[in-house]
Amino acid sequence: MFSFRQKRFTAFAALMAIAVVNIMVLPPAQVMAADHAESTSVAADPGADIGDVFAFLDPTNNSNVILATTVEGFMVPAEGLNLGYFNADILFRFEIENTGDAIPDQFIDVTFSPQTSRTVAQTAIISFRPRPRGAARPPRFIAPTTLPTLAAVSNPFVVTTDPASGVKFYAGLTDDPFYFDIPAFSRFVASVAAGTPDVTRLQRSRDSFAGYNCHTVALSVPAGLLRGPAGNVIGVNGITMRQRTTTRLNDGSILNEDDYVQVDRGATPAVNTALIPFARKNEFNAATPADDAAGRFAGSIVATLTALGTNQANIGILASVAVANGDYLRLNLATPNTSVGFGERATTPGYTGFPNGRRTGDDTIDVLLYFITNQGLLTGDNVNSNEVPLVATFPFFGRPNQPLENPAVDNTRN
Amino acid sequence: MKQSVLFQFVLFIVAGFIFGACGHVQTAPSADQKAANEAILPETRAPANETIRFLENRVKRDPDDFIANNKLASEYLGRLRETGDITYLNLAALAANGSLKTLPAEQNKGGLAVLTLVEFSSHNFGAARDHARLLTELEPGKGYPFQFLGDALLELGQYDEAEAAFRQMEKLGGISPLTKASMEQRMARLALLHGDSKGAARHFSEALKLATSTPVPSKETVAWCQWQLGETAFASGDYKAAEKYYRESLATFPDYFRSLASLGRVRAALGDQNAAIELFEKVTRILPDPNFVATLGDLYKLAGREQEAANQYALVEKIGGLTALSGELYNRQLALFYADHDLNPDQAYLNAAKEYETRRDIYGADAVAWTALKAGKTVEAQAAIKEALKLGTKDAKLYYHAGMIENAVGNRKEATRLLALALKTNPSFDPLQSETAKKTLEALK
Repeated sequence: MFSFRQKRFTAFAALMAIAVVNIMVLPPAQVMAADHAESTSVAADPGADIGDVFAFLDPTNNSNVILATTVEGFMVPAEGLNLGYFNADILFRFEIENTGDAIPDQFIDVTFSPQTSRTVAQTAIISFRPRPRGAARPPRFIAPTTLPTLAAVSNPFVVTTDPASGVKFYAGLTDDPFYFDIPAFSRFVASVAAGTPDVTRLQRSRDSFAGYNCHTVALSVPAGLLRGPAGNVIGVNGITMRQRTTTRLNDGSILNEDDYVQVDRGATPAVNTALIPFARKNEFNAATPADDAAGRFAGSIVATLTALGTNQANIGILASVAVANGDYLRLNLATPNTSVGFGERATTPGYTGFPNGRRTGDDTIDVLLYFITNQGLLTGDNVNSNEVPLVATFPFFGRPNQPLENPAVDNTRN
Repeated sequence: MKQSVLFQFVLFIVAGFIFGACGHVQTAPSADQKAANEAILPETRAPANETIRFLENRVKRDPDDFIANNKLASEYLGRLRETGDITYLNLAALAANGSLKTLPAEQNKGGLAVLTLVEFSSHNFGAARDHARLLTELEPGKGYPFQFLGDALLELGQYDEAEAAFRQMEKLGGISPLTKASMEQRMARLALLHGDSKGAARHFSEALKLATSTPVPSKETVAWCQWQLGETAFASGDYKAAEKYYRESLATFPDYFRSLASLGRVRAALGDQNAAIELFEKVTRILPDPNFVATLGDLYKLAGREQEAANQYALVEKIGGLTALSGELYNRQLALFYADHDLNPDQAYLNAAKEYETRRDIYGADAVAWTALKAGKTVEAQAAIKEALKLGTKDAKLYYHAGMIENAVGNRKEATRLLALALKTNPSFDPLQSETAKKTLEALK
């Protein structure tokens, strides 16, 4: 039954001397032993566990905004059928801030029907509220998920377009687009903490995320449905929610009741994982961008960066992302975008990616490293692109890895 | 000598035996519900093998891939649970320790979590408790460390603290149905310990419902819940209901070693000795658990097959001494085996008493009591059995041991009461020992 707990290790977590590698992997059931009860174990809510959130202009049509969130990272390809479903109890929500403060103004909710069979796609309900400016009515439509397969070739991405609004939708497995060498970063952090920063620790060039899949929910939304009175800059926050009460009915079905409560949230990579101290991580997960903007976590974030030797100027740059107007991915709708960022660096001419929103190919780790090291480290972590190409059309993610692994291929390197 | 079985044991050592359970049985899932569940229940093993291969390859290429090591340890522990193969426990320990070598616990909670589970499964409950406590500090807002902590405390006999930990687990993680299912199992265990067999059955039934209604239920977990319902029914002497649950469990997870053995035991209780022997022969081929082997020996003995019984008894001793880990895992079982069969009384008592120094649960006290009696230490036996009965656990075997101790000290009235209570609770609680109980009670009249 239950599987494992995996909290995505985002961005520069390992840079932080005080950071925790927050990847929980727990067994599907607690182990038996010879003379004691061995109840099964559960510790996780992986289906609600946000890995990353993305927001960028469609590089093929800048009048559309791509919004995406990933959950249940580190999925081994062979687990694709067993775990390849969206939990019907979970509400996926994109919060859009478009008035220039920390309060979300627009909500896009996605829920899924229960999985009834491995050969029948689930149905997603996508609904906007309130009615976006300029729209006759709030978009609301249904769309199928893309079925997983253990075959040599993954199923084609099933993309549904709502004819009334022009919104496109995708939900299904993808390759996990994040790339990062966690052990190397950890060792680099240790060297920083010891007062002898050693960049050679970053030369392993192994991608801790290569070869794994995740669940992705992605939307392509006409920018006009998101733009607000604040103009071209919008904020995007991804959250997952569950209803507070679950009741089992006599026929065995489940009734979820009461208010939805937030389980997880994600916007700027690494804020919770790396900048928030242990004792406050769950508090941060349950908090809102308005709490961020009110300074609830500002002290913790600044303290963490200070401990890493980041100077005030760069603390200002980083803290402004997560504190000033709350932790949103801020995207300028007027900044043209022509790529998904694959293989680009922040110093690449014409770079328009993170921290301007976040594209699926952006090397967020290197960007964050750049600022944390007071713009001193230009070489990053030496893991410079995703291990599989990102598709050139919506949803702009890589196809899921399939279980027929080639033993000759070292899937820990890109 | 069953060399082949012994060899098999090296590859497939055991696990599993749950303390006495008692109580009434709740309704099983409806046929429609079961059919619906079977339509989406995963075939656990094949994907697990693929997953393990994927992760092993990653670790081979990059021994510092602590994520893969954490996931690998988790997979090995899952396979251990399904098969009882102790090889997986050793592999899980290697993976967990490898992970923590790359990144220390403070930065690697996943590594610490799997290490805690490895320690728990290895019967190193003190270490499991301490590491679970560390996890509660590292993950103050999460429920799962409290589950680990409660489980370890329960095995150490710290019942009030265990219950408090489970309550904290529920408080912090209770919103997820999976957490609720896990919670129900633990509430059932506590209910059993406190003699509330109806409550235990109710909690196990709820756990089963929750397990079957998760989007992709694990067959083994569903089978485990069904088996537990069977154990609860068996402990209260409801053999018909017990057999029904065991068969449902086997339908869910074919050749599930726990349910095969329990089905054999219930067939024996119903007087079908041939079927019982066949089932125990089968389960010991799959998994030569010392309990299973000893019970097969008892069944042979009852059938007059003395030499075959002696072979099984000899095998039990060999298994217990095979490795340091097996000695750790089966210390208590071996002590009870010796006491049940009037073998090595002093050694059995010493082993039970030594374990009880650090693991002070009621069944540890029972082991001390039973072995003390056989070693002629009746004062110690009386003190220990009092401790074993302190929670009010309704377990025929505890009553039997208590009755035999009272009989040994000449307290005929109390001995009669306790032996009668044992046989009333579960008339055939053990193929051999229940016969002894009946004979002793008869002699007391």
